[in-house]
Amino acid sequence: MNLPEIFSYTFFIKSLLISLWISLVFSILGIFVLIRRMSFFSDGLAHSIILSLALAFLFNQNFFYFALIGGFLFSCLIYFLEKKSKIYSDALIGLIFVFFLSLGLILMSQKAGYQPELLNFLVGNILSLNNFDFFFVLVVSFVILVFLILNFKKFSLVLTDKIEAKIRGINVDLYEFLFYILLGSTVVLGIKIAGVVLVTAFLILPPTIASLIATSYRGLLFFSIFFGLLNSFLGFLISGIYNFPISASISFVGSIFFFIFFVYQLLKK
Amino acid sequence: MNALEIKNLRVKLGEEEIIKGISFNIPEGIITALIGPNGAGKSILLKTIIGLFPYEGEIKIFNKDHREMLPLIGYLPQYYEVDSLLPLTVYEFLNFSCEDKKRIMEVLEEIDMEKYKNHPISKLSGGQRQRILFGRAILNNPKIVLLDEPMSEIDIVGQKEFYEIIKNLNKNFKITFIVVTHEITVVNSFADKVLCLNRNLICDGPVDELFQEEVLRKLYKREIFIYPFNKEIKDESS
Repeated sequence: MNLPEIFSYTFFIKSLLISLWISLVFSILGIFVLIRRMSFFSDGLAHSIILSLALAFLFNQNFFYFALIGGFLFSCLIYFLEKKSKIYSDALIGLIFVFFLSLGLILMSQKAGYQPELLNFLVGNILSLNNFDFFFVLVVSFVILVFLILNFKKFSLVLTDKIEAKIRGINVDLYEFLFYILLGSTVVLGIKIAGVVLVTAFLILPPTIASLIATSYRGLLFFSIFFGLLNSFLGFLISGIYNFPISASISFVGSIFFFIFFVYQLLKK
Repeated sequence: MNALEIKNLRVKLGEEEIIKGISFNIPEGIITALIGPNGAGKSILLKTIIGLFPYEGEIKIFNKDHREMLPLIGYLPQYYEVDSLLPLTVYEFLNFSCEDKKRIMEVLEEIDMEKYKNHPISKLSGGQRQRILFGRAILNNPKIVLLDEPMSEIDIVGQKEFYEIIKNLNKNFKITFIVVTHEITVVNSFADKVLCLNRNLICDGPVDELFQEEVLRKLYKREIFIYPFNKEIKDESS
């Protein structure tokens, strides 16, 4: 397909818009994930959602209902176990996501026949979003985005310096918990678009590229959003022109940007 | 009025009792030096005052439960790990704690760091970073400021300037300071009161009365000599 042809399809424009929108949410939230070094959390959560997917298949229900509940449970479990247990956080995430994932695969095996939908969830397929999914992603991500923007400084302080946040009268435990829930919900929203395997790339690539260029926190936010949107836009174009998978194209574009700026940084030193 | 009142304070970490039932008062508007050997519970005491540890007993700030009064407290931690990968400028760092841009600039001027406003905090030297942390501690016009070893990364000249800033703030704004320090040779020059802590309270009173070699011997359980150097600093600054 050529460019004018791509933009003549309504479904393509619709999918591009939702992808840009979700990239905006991801690139802001991704900054906090980077600060708190929680990329494995999002990766683990994305894999644990296979259990929700299996239940949605078995009960023939919309994926998002089960996924949001699954994401909420996973986030709560990790949050409370990190506080209460003496196990390293990454080990905890590794153990819990394996439990969710293995149970999901066992349940999945009970449904007879080939399940093409499964591949959509593994690598993502934004074109598989129906009108309900589209609306659902839009509304939930809008709520997340507004909440993030209104509380951006509070989250920044809580995630960089808990003691100072506490002195400034912020309920640190509540905000940390909310952050886990927001992150869990955002990853769930991104799974149909980016896929279980690549959703973390959507979250991590924009702020990581930005951290190579930015000289201030404001710059980090600006470049993270910029590259989040640019990766999505260019990825969509490449995918449309060459008929590549969309999420892989977006992640690939982001990775190329990352390597360019990473090498530039190395040479600069 | 007392800025801080502590009654029968006991703090346990696990099974170990770190602070063993201490009581003292700190009147408003004075500078108190909190001294004691490593592991004496000095940092734990400050952290308990800002509500980070559970305790038995009573902590009151300006006659109210300390948890209600946290916004009136400024705190400079003993250790502050700066994320070297996070591009955060000095101004942005302070802006997380205070929305008032004018006040941030006032404080930067006060601590003589205004030219570093747009400098990444991770690129500052240890001493400069301590100044910024001190700036943050006084940013929201606190009534009581807790400083946990503020001079740990500052050179001798910088230390003298730092003490001058503390003294000026104390004099001009009646801010109460509690300063944890190991620099016992300079305590005489800036503190109005000394608390000696080694899990129990060993001494509590004005510097002149209690800052004696005999007390220090009891506190550190070894011979400590106070060099006349500190006297000189006191004379020079007064």
